[in-house]
Amino acid sequence: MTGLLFRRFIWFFPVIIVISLITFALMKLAPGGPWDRDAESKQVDPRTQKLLDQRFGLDRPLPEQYLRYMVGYTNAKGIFECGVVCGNLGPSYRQRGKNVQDIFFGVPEGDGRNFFHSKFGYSLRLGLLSMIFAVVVGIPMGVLAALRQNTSVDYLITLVTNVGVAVPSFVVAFFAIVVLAVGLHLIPVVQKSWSGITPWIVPAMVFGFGTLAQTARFTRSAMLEVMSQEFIRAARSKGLGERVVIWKHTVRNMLIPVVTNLGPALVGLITGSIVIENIFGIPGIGRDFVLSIGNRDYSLIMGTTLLYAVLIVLGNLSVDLLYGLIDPRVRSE
Amino acid sequence: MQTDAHTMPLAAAPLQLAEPQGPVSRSQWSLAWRRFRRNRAALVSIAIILLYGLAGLFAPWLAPHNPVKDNSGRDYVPPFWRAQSPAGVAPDLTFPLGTDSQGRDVLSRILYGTRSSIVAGLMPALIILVIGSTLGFLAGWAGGMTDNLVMRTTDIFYAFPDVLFLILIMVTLGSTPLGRLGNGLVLFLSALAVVSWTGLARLIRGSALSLKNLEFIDAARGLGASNWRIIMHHLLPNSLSLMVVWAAFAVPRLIIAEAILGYLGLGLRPSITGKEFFVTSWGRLFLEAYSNVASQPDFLLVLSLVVSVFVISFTFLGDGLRDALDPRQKR
Repeated sequence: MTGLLFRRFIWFFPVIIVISLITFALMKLAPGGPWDRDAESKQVDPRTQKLLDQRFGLDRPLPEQYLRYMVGYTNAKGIFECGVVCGNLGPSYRQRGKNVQDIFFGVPEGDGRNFFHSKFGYSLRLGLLSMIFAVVVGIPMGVLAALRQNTSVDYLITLVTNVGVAVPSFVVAFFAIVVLAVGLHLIPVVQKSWSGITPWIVPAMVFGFGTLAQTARFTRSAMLEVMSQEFIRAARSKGLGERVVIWKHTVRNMLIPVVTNLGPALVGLITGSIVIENIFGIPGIGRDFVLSIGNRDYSLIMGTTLLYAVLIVLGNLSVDLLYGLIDPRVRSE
Repeated sequence: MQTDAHTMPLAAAPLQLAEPQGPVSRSQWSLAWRRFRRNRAALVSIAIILLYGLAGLFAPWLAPHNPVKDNSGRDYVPPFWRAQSPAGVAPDLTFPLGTDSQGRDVLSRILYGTRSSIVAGLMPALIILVIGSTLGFLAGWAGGMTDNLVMRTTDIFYAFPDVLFLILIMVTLGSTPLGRLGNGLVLFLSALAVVSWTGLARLIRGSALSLKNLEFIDAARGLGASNWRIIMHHLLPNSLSLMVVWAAFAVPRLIIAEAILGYLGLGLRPSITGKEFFVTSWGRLFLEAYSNVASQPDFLLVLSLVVSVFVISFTFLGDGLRDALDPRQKR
């Protein structure tokens, strides 16, 4: 078990290196540099551009640029500036005086502002709330469907989850906007403030719907599988009450596969919110990413890709870890 | 060639025997069709998908108006079921689903959008089927280093945030010559294929691995069949059902990927003249409909319904195909 985890963890590094290489190559292939904007706005004159290139090391050969970014470099004052390996994602090319990690995790000034008010905090809040919604509604739905197998309740839940799995949150969001915002005026089309829980309800429900459907489906089939096993029959035949059989014996065992899948699902919700943030105007990393690609803010693009890749790898790693923690049979192998 | 001579009679033998005996022999596919026919939801889904396909194919003949023609002064006409639009305009039956912000006919635009979105879903699926299954067979059949290499590559792509990667490719390469080829279609299709081939490759590898040690493969090898022949004549037909089911679930995902990119303004380049094949796509339409949601909410509603029905149909079709083609795998 430890050996497996260790091997998985070692594998983490080549994955990140290759992903960063691909991203780096793509950005360098793109025509135009970070200093030229769209035709309408003022262009940076060649001399300034040269200075800027020097300042950010963009005049160096490509492999060196990559190494400077990933590992670090010695600056003009002779001080070593550590790169990505130390969590330094480099200066943003567009938002002057700010490092990319400050843009992601920096807390804006103001009373009562905390980590959750950073850009990443907004994306995290959306992901967590969607996850909570998906779990709190999805698991009971799956249990109910399994307990009432082949009744109208089961069919209804199956229908809802089928729709939820099929229709992406992207489209569900538009339905919500048309019906709830424009039709019934229950929510504004564009939220002005994201404080409190109220403005998050609809985005979290929309975004969590797909995960809810998957969780419910998964719970239902896991439940049915456990219910058909011998030890459940044994529990019944020794005279245990139905409630004990269901809650103590069935649900507990059913939760193993369900819970292990929640890690990657949560990561999916945190890294997958680019479009949802755009539609609902949530000021998280995803919305910023879409803006930064138009601006050619290379370091921000690369930082986002790396951050999300790390989260995804960790999410997948968490499956192995959780499995070992919850299921003793895996640990002994 | 000699291998053919050896294997042919063996393959043909059971068929000849089956004829004179009582029970009619049925191929796997005809058995699957019998199972599939019993699934009413899947049948309805196929009908709906065909309907969409026909609508896309015959869009130029079905569309009541030119999809790119601005009708000045006729903007934000509501669809037929509304008494009036939010601005007080009455519906006009020559524009059954109303008009958009520039007075373009919504029905015609949706028909043309269906056309490109279906192509945007089918083409990358075909590309991936070729690339993904080739790599999968290669990895599963060859084993060893090749297998390791292919599988570690899929691991890397698996960790790539896919929508983000798609956006990245479209943005960085969008204005290069490659990005301009065929209204951005070439770049778009390759980007989708690059992002989504890993799932199929893993699936096919697994299938190749499990088939590899079965007796009939040993028999083929013993008779001197080449690697190529074994892959094409034995592994491929036995993995075909997996590929079909994969495709049924992949096409809607690819269509939605196009819609997301289009919504972000990164998808196919819209045609201004209406002469090119790709006039607009569902993604583009989502962007337009959402920008004008306050003045014309029904456009977004109709579009969301059109897209939802399509992706739901594909899911039911996929479920039906899976149950029919792989009866051992019960849900």
